[in-house]
Amino acid sequence: MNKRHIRHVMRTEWRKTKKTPAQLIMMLVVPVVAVLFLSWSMCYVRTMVNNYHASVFLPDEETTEKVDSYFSEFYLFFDFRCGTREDAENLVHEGKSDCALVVNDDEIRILYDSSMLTSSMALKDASDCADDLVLFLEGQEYMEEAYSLYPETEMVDLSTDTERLVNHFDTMASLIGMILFLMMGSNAMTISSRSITGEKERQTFDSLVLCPASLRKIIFGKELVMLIEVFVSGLVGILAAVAGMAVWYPKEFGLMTEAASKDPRWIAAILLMLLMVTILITGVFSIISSAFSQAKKASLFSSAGMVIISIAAMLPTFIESKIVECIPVANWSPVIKHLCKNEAVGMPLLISLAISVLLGSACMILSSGLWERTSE
Amino acid sequence: MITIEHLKKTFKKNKVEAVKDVSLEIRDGEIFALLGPNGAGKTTTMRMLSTLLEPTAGTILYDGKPLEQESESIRRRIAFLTNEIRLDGQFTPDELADYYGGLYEMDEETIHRNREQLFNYFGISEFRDRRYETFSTGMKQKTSLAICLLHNPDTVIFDEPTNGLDILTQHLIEDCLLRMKAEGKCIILSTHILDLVARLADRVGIIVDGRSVFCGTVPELPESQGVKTVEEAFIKLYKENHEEKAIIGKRGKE
Repeated sequence: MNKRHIRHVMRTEWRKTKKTPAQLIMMLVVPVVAVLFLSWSMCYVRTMVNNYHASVFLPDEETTEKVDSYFSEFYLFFDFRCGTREDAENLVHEGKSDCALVVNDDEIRILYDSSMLTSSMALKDASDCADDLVLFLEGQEYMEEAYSLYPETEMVDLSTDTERLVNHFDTMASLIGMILFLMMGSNAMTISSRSITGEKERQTFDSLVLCPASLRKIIFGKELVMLIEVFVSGLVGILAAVAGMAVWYPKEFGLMTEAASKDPRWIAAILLMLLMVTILITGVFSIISSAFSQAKKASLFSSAGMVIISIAAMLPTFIESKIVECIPVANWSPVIKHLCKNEAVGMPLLISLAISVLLGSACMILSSGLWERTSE
Repeated sequence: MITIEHLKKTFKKNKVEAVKDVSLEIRDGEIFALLGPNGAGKTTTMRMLSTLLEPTAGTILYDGKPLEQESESIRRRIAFLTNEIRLDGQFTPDELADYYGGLYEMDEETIHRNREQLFNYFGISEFRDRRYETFSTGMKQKTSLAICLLHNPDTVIFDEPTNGLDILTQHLIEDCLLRMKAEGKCIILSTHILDLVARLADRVGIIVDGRSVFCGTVPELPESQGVKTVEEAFIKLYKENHEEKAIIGKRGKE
């Protein structure tokens, strides 16, 4: 294959992109703004959730009854029961309670699991409740005196580092991943309607057919530029997600950088997943754009295609089938989980990459034939 | 030399038989005018000649070589200009020359040399750094001409090249056609301006209702019809062939 034509078309297409500020904004600015906003709003939502549930575990029935009759009026989201630290840990692990206070003879502990969506309002109220409990139980009026009897309340995070990372990435993959996927799709839709359908609508298609360069090479050059631009928009989005993590989730960011520096598969896996999604999106939109000679019609079908792809790609997640790991779009969440747990991800990743490349390439090859056929 | 024999084109989509039977011969170093009323099949014939459309039946030979077998090498030798073909509006004439020159596998030096020659000839140099989409009709037509002649084709197919242009640009295009003829190029020109045909063309082909009804020199056209002017001959030929079809239609109904 003569690569000269392909390179030439790629250079020209890139020149067109540079001349279209809207396209550059769509590729470089929109993913950053959207992902950062989403990261911030996730953090904000997590902080502001005040409809929580907390439990207080007291050592004996008599104290429980006394505390409940006095405290339940002030602490509406708390329930007071008799139990041990083990009971409290189970309750938090099962996610039935945002946090649990364990009161012993000489200490009060607040147990929580940061790998779950714990309301920070719950933790703040639990801390206040612990102070009030100290005063109440010791019959003191001032904290200074009470603290001489009880040491300061300790916060105990029950989650492990891995659990925290898995949870964070699970949320990221489902929310930010989905937003990125939709943005990459709309980016591909704009590029394909401009550079593939647009050639026919602007009546510039015939001047390309007249050239000795084959249409297959011309469309391949266009598709490669589309692939690069969609990949870049996804990469920019991922970098924004990492930046957002550094700002709003410093703990998880620390864990992730530590894991990534120890094991480079992290970066490779994320880039591979991005690549396979890019190939699929580019292939699908190339074929849709090639089939129409009007950008309006192509956009309409592309939007429908986008919705169908999203649903189809996410369907296995709902069904919880094992096949999910080999579905190019739906695999990001399970693959990340495996990575966090230091489990093997090679095979599902390779299978899904192979599926993407096959499907994407088939679409790209078919699109050149369609592009030519719809010209008559 | 181009030889067209019993050319036929039926569009599958709307089942329209645009060209029914066209046979013509176009020689090197001549301006060949293709005449016919609107919808006669001139543009479809030209699109088939330029490889944009595939004929349903019939043959097109370029110097004895069949078009369908040699389409890639023939594309390097031909230029096709029509109002229906446009250039990318985002680009400047310089960028367009680079783009199309590259697609014709021309080296940078040849692109530069041909571009300067053509831009100077058509007076494009003064607006070469402006976007094509901002041009007037005349500027667009001049730029399209320069770009389609960039690869120095030996066969040039023009579909109504002076349509909607001012008198100065018309003169420039006429001069360009004569220069190309002097260089020995084969020029096919479709126009409704019979005055232009009488002044420039060497030979004429007339298509009526998708069929070629005349092919010969300009002086032969009025002579063969027993009239004085090209215009009178054209109208006579049109009426004869068109009416004939109408009569057949009526008889068929009877």
